[in-house]
Amino acid sequence: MPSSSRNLSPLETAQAADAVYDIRLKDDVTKAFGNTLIKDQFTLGDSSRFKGKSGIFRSESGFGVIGQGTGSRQGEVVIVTRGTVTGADWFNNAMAISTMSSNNKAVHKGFNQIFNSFKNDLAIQLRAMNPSRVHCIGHSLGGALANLIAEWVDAKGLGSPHVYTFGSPRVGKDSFSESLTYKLGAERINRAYHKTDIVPMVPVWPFIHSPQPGLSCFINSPGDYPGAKYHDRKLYISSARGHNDWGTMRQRHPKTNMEKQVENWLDSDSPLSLTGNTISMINSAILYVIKKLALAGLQFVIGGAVNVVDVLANFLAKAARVTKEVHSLIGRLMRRILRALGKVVTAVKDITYSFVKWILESLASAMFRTAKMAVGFTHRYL
Amino acid sequence: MGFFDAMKINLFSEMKGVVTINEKPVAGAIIKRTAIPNNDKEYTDSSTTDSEGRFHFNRMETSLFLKLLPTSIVVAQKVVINHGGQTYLAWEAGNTGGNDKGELNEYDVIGSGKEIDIDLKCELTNKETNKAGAYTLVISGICNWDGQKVLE
Repeated sequence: MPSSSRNLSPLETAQAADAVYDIRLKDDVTKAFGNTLIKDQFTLGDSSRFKGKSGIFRSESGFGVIGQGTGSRQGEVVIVTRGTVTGADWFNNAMAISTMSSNNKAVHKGFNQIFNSFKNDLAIQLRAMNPSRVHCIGHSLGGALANLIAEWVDAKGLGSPHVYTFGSPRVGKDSFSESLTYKLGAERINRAYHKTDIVPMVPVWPFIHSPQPGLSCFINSPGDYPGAKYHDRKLYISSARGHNDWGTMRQRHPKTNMEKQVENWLDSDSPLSLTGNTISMINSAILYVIKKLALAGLQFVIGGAVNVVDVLANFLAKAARVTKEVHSLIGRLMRRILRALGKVVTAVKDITYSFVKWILESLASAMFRTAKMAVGFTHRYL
Repeated sequence: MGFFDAMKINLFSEMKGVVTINEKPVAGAIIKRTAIPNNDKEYTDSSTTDSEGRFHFNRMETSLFLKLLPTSIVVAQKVVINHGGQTYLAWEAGNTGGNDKGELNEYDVIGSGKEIDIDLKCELTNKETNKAGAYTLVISGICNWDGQKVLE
């Protein structure tokens, strides 16, 4: 039953975003969508029973399926996109470069290149269908592409777009997100993400999510450490179950108890010594700061065998230059760690790389001396 | 768990079954499994049916170093039966997620004790049909299992 916004449901779209991965070694679209709800509303794949035809558009890094609506969805079109399963370099470009989108807004260059590589193919099919509405669906990179398709469809007057994404990375700067939200309306931009899915945290600031302004669909997931597990397209289907429409999914990212504890700890001035509790709190606080920075668009990425303290010190020193708030947050963390090391300071003003590195190294050697301390941080998160 | 770690991927869960022709067990039929995960490489194993037409495969898994993490794990599976000079499509699924027992079970069921194990009845005169797997998985082939749902 279509909702008043004419959105497709969370479950219908989460399934579509998963099913599109089945089209790979063979182009059997009908079979790929044979176990979805959406097959009853759109023609996906050639079928002699229906007049409509559907197509595939692909490039080296991107892939999509387009289908025409039937019954109550007559005149509408669905487009489901994904990246190639062998992958592309887009994730490695966490410190992303921007370029101009089809509507002259700043967007991630990698995503835009992939979109441009199949745009003309898509245009030919879409013009032939002349749709009223265009439902753009995607998981992960497919979600980023869905955003770009929606912007372009609107700009070219090819139909009225709706966007549905699961675990999508950030696509564009504020001008892109604000423009898209203004043109489509926040209720037609349905962005679902799991709390511990790492992908929505990239690329780094100044890229932000849509809708802006508006509510995304935060989905709680276990644990505190962002990673790959909750990026799984099938877990998004599990999460979509039980929601008849997107209205019940829209909610902000709530603060957790641990976050409140860490915030209180960072703000306090109490004496500290290097007990197990303090170590644990320092670990949580470092992670809290990293997460907070990630939410602000500053993603801490580390790979391979590197000097963690070095990289972290560099990251924190750079981040501290971004805004007064970030500077203050990192300053408070440094102050508390110094306190735990027996050095009382009133406030931390200059947050340089060498200063942060000295603090973290002092902490590391102090912890190493106290053999019992379990340094969960470096192994679990990194 | 780093961004550039090797990931353990389930290529095929443990599976067993029986091969028959006109309801009579087929001994000596060769069953071959092929799994193709994200790296586009083929991973295979094979087995032969015993005197009662039965076969069994252990779980097939591998570690993939994916510098493209996080990406969606996609494992395409195919099982064929060779007998009497003919090849039969036993099982084909294009979109498994790389989780143990994930072909037939959604994630909240796995580990609960209520998982469905893969136990196939492969009657060689059967037509190929499409059955529903977990989530949006479509499993094609001649082999059937108890409680399956055939898709139109």
